[in-house]
Amino acid sequence: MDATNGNGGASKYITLVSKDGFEFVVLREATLCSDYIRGMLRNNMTEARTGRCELQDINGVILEKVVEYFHYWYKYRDREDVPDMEIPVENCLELVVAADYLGMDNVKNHESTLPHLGLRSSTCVMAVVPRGVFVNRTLL
Amino acid sequence: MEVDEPTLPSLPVPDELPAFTTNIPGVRKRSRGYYAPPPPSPGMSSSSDPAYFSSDDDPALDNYLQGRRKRRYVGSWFDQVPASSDSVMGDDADPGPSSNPRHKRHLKRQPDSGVWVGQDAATDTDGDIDLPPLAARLPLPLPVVKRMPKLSSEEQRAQNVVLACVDDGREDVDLSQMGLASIADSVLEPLAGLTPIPVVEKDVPFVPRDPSLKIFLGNNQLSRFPSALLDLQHLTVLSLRNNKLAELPPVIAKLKNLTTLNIANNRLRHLPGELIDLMESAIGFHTLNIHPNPFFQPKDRRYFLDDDLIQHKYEYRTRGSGIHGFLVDRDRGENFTLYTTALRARTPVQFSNNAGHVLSKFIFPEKTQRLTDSSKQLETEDFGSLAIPQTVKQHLGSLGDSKRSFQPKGPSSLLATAMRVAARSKDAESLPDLLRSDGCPSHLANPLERAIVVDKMGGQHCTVCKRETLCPVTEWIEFREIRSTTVEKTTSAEGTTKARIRHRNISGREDEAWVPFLRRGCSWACTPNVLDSSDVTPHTML
Repeated sequence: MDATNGNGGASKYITLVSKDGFEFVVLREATLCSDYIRGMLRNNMTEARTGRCELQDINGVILEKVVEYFHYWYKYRDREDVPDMEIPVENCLELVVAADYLGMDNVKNHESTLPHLGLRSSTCVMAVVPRGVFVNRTLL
Repeated sequence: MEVDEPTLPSLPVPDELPAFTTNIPGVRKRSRGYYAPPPPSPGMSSSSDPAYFSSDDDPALDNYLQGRRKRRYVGSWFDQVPASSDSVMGDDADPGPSSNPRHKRHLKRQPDSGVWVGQDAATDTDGDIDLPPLAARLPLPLPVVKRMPKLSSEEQRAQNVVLACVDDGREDVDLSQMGLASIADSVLEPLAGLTPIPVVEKDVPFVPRDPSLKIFLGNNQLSRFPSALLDLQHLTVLSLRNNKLAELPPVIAKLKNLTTLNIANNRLRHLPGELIDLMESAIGFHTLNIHPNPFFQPKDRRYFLDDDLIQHKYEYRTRGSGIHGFLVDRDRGENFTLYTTALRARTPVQFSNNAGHVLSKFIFPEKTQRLTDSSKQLETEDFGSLAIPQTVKQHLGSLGDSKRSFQPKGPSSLLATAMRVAARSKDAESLPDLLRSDGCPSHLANPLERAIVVDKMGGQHCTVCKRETLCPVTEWIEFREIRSTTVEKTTSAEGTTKARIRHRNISGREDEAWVPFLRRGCSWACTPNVLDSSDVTPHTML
């Protein structure tokens, strides 16, 4: 079942591509804390073979933070007394939405496990709350 | 002299030369008539002093022998036209007093200066200046002024009482029966600065003392615990009797000086688990009134722990040292009475995710739901077992080595971290509405709103790992009996200390004896301790 065990020939790393074309190369194991990406990397999916996941709804700035979390999680997953990850205030709402979309809750709830639902909600938020607008609203 | 003017290049004569001597009726202007330069004065010509003004750097000054005639220029420094006969322009530049009729003043922008300057033909009449229309202001947003909450008339009366107490140094603040539906933080905040009148007696040195505030808020309509009270470190007596409180904030444990707490006759369904710590650790805590309240009750009373040791085994995870730690370590004198609790039953654990979606079969009644006698009754679970929902198990399985990633105090999820930052941000109140707007994942709005409320009330901490958690993922209720415990220490002749402990149940009625305390965890690993089945024996209550 596990993506890493399932295809032995696959690379240890996968590439995440943001909406605006930024690419992040991440350890495959570190992305396991996201339900969404874990689902993408199942054996029979294209992404599992190519090791390239395109996240059409997440822009580069947010994805960078998400990738930072992947590594944070990977580093600390076996530890106790973990310090909290720093998140800038201006990105917090977008990260809430992105975390929900990527299933980086403890576990996804049932209704939004359906990928299309997640996709739709996420797309719209990214459109409704573009970065600049949000910065103004929160910081001013 | 004409030869000695190398600094001024020849300039074209402007079409309009400004008038010097235009006489405007009514405006007295010093006229500078065109006149011949005065002959050099004998005194000046004989001067042998070198020129020493810094402005006299004209090379012509090297031959400075006789009095120099003043040069005259027309125009400002950037638009200079020599106007006198001794300049390079000669007599052509002579404007003549009458040759320049008064003309309209033009303003033009000097691109390098950034200043609007008129030509120097300035007369003092500004009536007919052609100013271009003002450019529209930049569309800056209006500064957001935080609306101060308007105080209701009841709150204003309360504020008067509070201010009077602060002025007089009175420590009894009686705000009962004022019809308060809510109380703004600004009303209670002045109490933090209250300075009591110190005891002045003969032969007693003057020592300022800490106030021991007594606040009476009984018989009001409060539906939320006033969060300003949590900052009053010197609060000793707090009465919230006969209000509409639905929940006590966990941070109430911060009030270490509390001796009396009256929360009878409210709408409380459970007490915060932190209250146990407060009762046992606050030094002088002596009175607690919690009944009547619509508390949750256990459905059956089969499982309970009557053995103190087993109880400590259960509690070492959540509490550290149990009551015995207190009895031995605490220096409270020979005899003392304190409140202790005895665990009687526990509900199953409600597992949810950070977004507030419940995954377990066991689920607490909604806060808005009206409780009936049957819905008030909660299931209980054997202390030797812990029901973990299938989804949770699956999730842990998919992470690989489940034991390793299933630890308390591990990394909190990205959603929880981002939510916490969002709830603490300056503009937090507007965020849930943003999420609710069209097309957004609105299922996140309610959890975020809850987190904001929790953060406002001082936050809450995981029972097991003591980390701050605004969106707990495990919750359970422990039913406990509250006892008043008297300890009498006797020291025998051999020097050993014996403590005699007597428990007395404080609630008389049996159906009120078990009081629910809410516990919570920040991760799925933060759950109540599971005892060995050999330690747990089912009891039947008669």
